[in-house]
Amino acid sequence: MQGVDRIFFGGPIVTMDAAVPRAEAVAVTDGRIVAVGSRAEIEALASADTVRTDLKGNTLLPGFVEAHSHPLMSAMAWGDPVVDVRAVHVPTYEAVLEKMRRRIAKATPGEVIWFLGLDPQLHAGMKEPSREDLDALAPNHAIVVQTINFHGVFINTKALEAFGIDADYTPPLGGKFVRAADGLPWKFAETAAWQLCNRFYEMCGDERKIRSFNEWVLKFVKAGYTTTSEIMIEPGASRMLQSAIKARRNPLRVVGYEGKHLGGEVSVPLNFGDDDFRVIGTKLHGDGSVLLGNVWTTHPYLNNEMTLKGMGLPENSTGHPNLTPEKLYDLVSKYVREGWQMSVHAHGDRTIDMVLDAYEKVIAEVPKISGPLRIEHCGTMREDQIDRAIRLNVACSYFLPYIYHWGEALRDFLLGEEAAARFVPAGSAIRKGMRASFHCDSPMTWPDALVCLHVAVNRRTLKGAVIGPEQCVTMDQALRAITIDAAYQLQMEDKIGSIAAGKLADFVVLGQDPLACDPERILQVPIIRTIIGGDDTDDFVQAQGG
Amino acid sequence: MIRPRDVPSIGPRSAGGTLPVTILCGFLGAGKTTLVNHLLSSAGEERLGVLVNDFGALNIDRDLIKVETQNQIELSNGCICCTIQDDLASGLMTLARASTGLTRIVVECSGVSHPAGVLAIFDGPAVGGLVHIDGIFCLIDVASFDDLDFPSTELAIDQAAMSDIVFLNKLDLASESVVRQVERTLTGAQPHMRLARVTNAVISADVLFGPHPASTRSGAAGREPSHAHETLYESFAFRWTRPVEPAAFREMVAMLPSGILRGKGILSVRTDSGASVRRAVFQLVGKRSSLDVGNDPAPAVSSLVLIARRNAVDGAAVEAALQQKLGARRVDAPARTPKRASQFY
Repeated sequence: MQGVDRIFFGGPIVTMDAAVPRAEAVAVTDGRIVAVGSRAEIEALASADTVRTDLKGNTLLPGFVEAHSHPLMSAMAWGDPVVDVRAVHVPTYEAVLEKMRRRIAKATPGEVIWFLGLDPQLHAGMKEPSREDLDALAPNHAIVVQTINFHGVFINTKALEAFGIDADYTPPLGGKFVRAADGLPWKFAETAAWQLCNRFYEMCGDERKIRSFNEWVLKFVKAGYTTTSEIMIEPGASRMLQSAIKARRNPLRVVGYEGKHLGGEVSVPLNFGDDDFRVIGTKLHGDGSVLLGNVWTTHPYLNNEMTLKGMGLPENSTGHPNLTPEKLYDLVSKYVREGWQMSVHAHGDRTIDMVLDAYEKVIAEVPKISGPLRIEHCGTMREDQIDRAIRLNVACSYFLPYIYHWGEALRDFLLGEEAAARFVPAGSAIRKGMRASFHCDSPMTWPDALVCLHVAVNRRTLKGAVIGPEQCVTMDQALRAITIDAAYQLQMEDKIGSIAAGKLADFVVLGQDPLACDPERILQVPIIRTIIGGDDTDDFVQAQGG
Repeated sequence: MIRPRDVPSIGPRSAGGTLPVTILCGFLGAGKTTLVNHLLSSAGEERLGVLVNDFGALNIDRDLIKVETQNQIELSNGCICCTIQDDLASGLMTLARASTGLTRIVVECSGVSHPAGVLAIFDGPAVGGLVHIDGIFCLIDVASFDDLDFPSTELAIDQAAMSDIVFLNKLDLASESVVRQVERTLTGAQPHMRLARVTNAVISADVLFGPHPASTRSGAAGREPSHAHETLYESFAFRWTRPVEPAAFREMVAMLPSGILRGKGILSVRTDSGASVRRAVFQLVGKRSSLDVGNDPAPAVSSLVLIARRNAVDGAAVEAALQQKLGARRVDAPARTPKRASQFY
């Protein structure tokens, strides 16, 4: 009899399979799990060629799954030569200017220098850099400064020249811009900002795309992820992404959703690709960023220096959606009818109302829906909306690291204590029975499954505050949201997300059993390695110098 | 023989009963190996174990260390902040468990090590149970700092920002205006950096090392600075009998001039209730300080030593402040230091 290829044993095995939550050993053949059981049961399947992997007390889990992320976009946005000025490294606005001066001092003639990470909430003393400020910093070089929420871009006079922008500039659909005192464009927002980003990425060349993409994949692998998503692929970029993924042995599966806010046909056929990379859905933006104020809410923002001056909001601002209810319905209806799974970004509760309205209407009209229909981030989602989403079988992906990084800002400056306490209300949703998922939304925050777990079970911020403890869930519930329930949202529940016979052998090895460790210490759990299709991803990690 | 586990808790980050570790970082060519040689040849009562990390496959730094020691481990072909983190952990544990009577471990990081990755090693229970970080120090080659490319500049700044004291080395090779520009760049990135100027990496062990275990036991506040360094450093030693109120002491520490590089003290402090007195160990390393109150009986006399670069601080003002706040009396020498513009920030 042919024996199994590989056996894992020698440590806790947390399967995330409700039928058999714990096992002593797992057998793998041809990249798939063939048996899960006791050490004796699994040993009986071995032959002389079987490779045995002793976990040596480490814990085996299904590889982490992130339902909402952007590895390619992250690579474009953050990869070298972009200069990272995030507050986590560069704490004050003055320090940002100093870092910009250091970089500009090393500039080569003709280069465009792009700075990313300016943060109105976290950079103490921040003000919008005026054209005069930027020209004083770099009279001879093109410089661009982009905000951490990606929605705003400021440029100097030399950058105007580099991008060929003059007084006749017109922004793309959905884009906004502001002129400086000289009458020329200075600040770009929304699609106008993203258009400049894409032009810069093209200037950086194709080799940089692949190199940065692999660097970014490494971050996911080291965070324990074996599957993630690319949830706003630029139309036309799917084939490039596929070739980047297929160019080496793949250490990270990616599920694709094409960005369709401009409408039009999806650039690849339905379910294009395979288990390494498959395009299954479409993505729309119902509103914008809570940190920018362009989300549509019932309760107004607080009125203070940060909201009125730092963010430039009107008093008692309740924001706005990105598109009308009619336009949203038209787009949802078109792609759902074509068989695509729909995913809509919605932070504000009024936007969520609009999305649920569109979904309810489409569900009534279309007999077979590729589901679950999804809502992304869900910052200020109300309790009645959770009930309605569950009734409609709509699944939410919650952006929990928001609490970790910006919890104090939400509570003290943006939304107030009550709204902050139930911001990203995953606890309510999960207790009511929703199969929710958690995400880091890279490039907004770095891929980090442990931060998702930490916020889910502790609701504790980076600085130590506890915000909305009533939204805490158990560690088991939290783990479901980054394994089996995230797999459900990505329509891969039959293939990944738990350790069960027949599924792909995708695992993460942790230095501690998360179900046995002190929940307050979850961030300290070592991530030892990941395994994809039965093989360690160490070769990729080493090739990337990680 | 002092077993590593028997070394008393003395370091600012000590968790109790663990061996102190001094970490030296700095970009390639900053002078770390020269400094290790100085320390090995002037270790005095200290018995040093050394861990040397060389990023390349050949550990050149090991060969450049001229002083023979049995307690040296080379960590090659990778960087201890990332690819060979495990090697650093096992090296620390080997030296700490060797029971060879070591009193301290010195870690020379590779020039491309990021301190965050090195510091993370000490969080683990295995390593943290045997050793603690006593101080982390950075060397900067001021003469070639401006020639570094942008990523190297940022790494050098990160190394400096995470260190207790930053030594601007190779002063003899750079003009005053170049040195000032480096200082401006560093403090622009992190205003609270504690900078000190040196040449040939000549830095006293009194500045880099916390108090010697033996002398803390006998109640004296550290060694007297060795005479070889008298021209570069000066110390201010105080003794007094009145028990210290912790709040008043912390207030005094906050007022100390930034030119003070090291402070060490064995104090008699009042407990919070004020009912009794206890022995406390005070440590100051650059911008970081701690006051650890233990359960041991208080010494009859409190003692405190402060070390600064010569002429960097106004000794008379320090003396007056300690006299007023603590009733402390200077015991080593009267304040006779001529005032001069501070070189410290």
